[in-house]
Amino acid sequence: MDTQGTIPTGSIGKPAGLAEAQKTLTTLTARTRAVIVGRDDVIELVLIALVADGHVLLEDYPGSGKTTLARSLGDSLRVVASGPIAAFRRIQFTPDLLPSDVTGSSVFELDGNRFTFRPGPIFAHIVLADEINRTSPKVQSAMLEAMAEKQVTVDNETHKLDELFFVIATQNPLDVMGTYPLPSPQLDRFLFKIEMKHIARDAELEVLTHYPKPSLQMGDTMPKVSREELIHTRRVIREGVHIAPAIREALVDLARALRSDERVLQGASTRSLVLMLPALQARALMQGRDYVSPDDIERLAPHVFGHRIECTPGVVDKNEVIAASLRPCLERLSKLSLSR
Amino acid sequence: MTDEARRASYASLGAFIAPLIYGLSAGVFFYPFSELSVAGAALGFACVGALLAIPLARTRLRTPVIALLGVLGVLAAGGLHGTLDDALWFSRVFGPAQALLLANLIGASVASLACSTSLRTLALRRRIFSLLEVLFVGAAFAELVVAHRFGAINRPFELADSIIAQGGDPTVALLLIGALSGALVITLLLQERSFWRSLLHLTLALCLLLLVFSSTRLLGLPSPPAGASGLGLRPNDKPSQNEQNAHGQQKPKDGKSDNERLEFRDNYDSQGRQVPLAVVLLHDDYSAPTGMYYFRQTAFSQYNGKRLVSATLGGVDTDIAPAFVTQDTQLTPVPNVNGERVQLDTTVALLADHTRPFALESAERISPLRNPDSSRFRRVYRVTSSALSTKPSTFVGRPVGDRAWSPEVLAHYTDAPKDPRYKKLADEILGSMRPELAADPAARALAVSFWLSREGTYSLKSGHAQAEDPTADFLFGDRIGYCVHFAHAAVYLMRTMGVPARVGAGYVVDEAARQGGSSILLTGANSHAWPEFYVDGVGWVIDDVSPARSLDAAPPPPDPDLQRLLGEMARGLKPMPAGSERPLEPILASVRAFRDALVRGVGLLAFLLLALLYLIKLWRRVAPVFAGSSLSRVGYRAELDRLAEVSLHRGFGETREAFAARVAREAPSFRRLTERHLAVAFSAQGAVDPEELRGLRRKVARELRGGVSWQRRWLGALVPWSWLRSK
Repeated sequence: MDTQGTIPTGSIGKPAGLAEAQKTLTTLTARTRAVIVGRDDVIELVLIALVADGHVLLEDYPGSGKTTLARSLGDSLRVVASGPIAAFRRIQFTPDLLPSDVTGSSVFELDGNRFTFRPGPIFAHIVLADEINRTSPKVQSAMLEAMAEKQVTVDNETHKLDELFFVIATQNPLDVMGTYPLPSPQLDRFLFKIEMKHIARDAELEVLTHYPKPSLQMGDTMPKVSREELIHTRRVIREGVHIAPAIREALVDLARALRSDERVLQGASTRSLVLMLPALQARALMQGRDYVSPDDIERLAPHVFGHRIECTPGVVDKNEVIAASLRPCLERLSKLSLSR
Repeated sequence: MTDEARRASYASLGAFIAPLIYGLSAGVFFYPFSELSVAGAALGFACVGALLAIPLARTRLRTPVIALLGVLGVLAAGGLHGTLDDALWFSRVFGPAQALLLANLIGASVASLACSTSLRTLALRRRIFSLLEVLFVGAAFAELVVAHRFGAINRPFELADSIIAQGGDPTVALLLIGALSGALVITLLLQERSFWRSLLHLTLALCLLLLVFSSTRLLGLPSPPAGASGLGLRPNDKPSQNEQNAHGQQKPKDGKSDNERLEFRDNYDSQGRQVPLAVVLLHDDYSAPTGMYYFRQTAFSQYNGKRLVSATLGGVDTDIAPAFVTQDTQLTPVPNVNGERVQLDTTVALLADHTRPFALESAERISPLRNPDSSRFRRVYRVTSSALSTKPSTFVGRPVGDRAWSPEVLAHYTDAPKDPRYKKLADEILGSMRPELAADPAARALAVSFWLSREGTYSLKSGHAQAEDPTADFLFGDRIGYCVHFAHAAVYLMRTMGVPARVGAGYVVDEAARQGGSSILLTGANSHAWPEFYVDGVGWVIDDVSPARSLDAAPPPPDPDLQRLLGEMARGLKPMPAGSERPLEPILASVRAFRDALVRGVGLLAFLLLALLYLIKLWRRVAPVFAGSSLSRVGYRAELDRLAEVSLHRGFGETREAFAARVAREAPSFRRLTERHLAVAFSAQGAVDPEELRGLRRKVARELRGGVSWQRRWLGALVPWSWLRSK
């Protein structure tokens, strides 16, 4: 990240940088929204994760537009053509998939009489890992190493992935026959787990209305975002969006409340709180703010903690568990704004 | 439930209500017997005993042993009390008065302790024994109010006196006591593991009893249970099963109501003989020549082949009031040719329902009166009677029957059974008379009653009801019977001798019973039936039989206190004690003073609170004008108050943005204001532009004026605590 920076940090004032970052976000949002109808909330969360340098797990049914979402994100990126890294790749996970199918493998080259590394599909900016729970734990772990470390290791040789590496993994919540469910430490790698609901009637109707015209081309006329702009946006947001001490306190209080809830077996990790901070900042900027407000916490907390906490058997609604811990924290924050 | 679990539950809070109930019951039990200190000691020891039961129930001591110990303890208490009471050394040591008190104290304490410990332990061990403790509590309270039976509203003295002294009604207080005891019993029955559930049940029970009590106040007191049955004086006077079986086929043919008839009963029901049925006030001093006041309610003159029933023939028994009157009513005038009758006014207040009014013989005029206490008296009416001032014996030599009577009427009054034995007996009686008197009809009538008084034996238990003619069975049999038998026998004999006679029914009271006062209390024991014969120019003359022998004990004389009390109530006076002793007055006065102080204090406090609330509300609204650096906070708060006034307030855990989005319909600008406010609170930047804030606030106020109806806004402005809900 230090090597990046087409726009020098020092040369712009904060408001200007934030304004530019906001413009980048707006562009991405607009492009994606033009392609995906009726999924504004999911688009927001996915973009937040992209900007916050996290990954998302979509829990969804087939045919609900997740590939389209991922591809439109990839299309939004203006990629240097000669580079080895593609803007978007999709990996369909199957039980017989091997790690090398994902990471790539060393191939014997007759010319130079040596092994050279042929990068796998994971070498892309945006990777759609479809039905990630259908493949063996071996492949899952290779995938997850890439997600956590932004690198792959083949034949004891470590190959760096790009700085802009974003995974959208999906799994079908109902079709669980012959699957390898992700254990909680692996789930922890995902910033958000997003449960997608079926879209509204009007949105669905609009999808059908656009039938003859492939929806993916709809955003073609809109401007794209370069990789450098996106990485710059990340830094600007990280430095420019203010997080008040009270917000940090509220996060810690929330995590503690979740851990002490008797319905919760395993509470939220400290790492999840750390990961949540850039997400909160990104969300704040998407809302046009240069500070994180309690509303951001309320919006993101269910998606950050939903897949990280484990509840006692019999608890049906995890969101309610989280909301119960969240309410007092938000109440304190709200009171704080008046009492200061 | 396992033993362990049950033992664990012994100490639950619910078990601690029981000692209070025990204490109260023991105190109530000993209160009528002895001094207040004894009752207090019993109360305390019963409490302690019930508490002791909790650890005792946990021990391995066997349940029958505990029961036995309880019985032994109570017996020991009785023995100890007796021994100490009698012991000479004891009274020498402490002095007689102190010794008595001490003996009482010790006896009551030991008995309460033993009784409550054992009962409570048993109840804790087995739930079925809870019934015993319920019985214990019920008995204690019943014992307190047992003297109140039979309408003796002035009993028990220790309770009623002080209440009457305050001008209250003891019945109400006793109903309250009953309600309290009922509530305690219910609580014992509903003993729960949870203290709060027990408390809830107790409250519910009290509410229920309060409801019953208040409805009693509304619907009036229940009618006296019995009394004067069998003489047809009171309605719903159901014939006994025995009687119905014997005469079931004989429906009364007189057309009167089924219950207005004389009945021969083998076992006259003496239940409720002390129940007060009415109180009569004499308006003038009148001394009955026979020493007895006769109150005639009805008369039976028609012989139906078996006995005398109410007359169906027109023009007879016209002196009997047919029903209760609703206005001043003149009855058939009573003949008073030689001035043997005196005019006398009486007031009758009925405590129980009657089929028709009764009056001191012989009534001439009846007028209804306003009921002074409708919860106590059924009816109040005034009667003008023409009462006899001479003895029946003075009518010897006077003609009987009325010259104005038609032959049918005369035949009606002299219709007697055709049984020849009556004629034979009548001849026998006539034969025993002096010849110059035997020819005189009035003397004949007097001779009949004299003969019956001498020969008959009075008893409420007899054995004639099953006979074809109970009167003949009585008269020609053992001659044991009660007033109905005697009256019938006398009338049959008089009629056989040609004297027009009938049976009168009502009440009779000995003159001595009024003890010089003007009120006469009539109880069930006073109900009576008697023979009377008609003297020309005088009217019906009561010629009662007073049997020389009686198998029954004489009924107890009426309670003079009750007689006076009811008499005063009937006069519409609030009962007042003689003298100015009002023991409860200081307590009542302090209660009133406390209540007044409470009302004033609460009122003042409420006013101050209201003023404070309004002040705070006002300050929060005008504070932004004076606010400097805290304008964002204070101004936002003022707008929150404004929204709270129209009941738009943030919910718990709702973020400010979410709230602003929610009220965007009423005040869209509030969203922007919230953003500015939050920016100050959570962003790095400091203050907000005051002008912008003021502009936003004005916009919000304007939008609220447009978006919310003026009623809602004005009502909200009046509510002093609206700002409490803004947060």
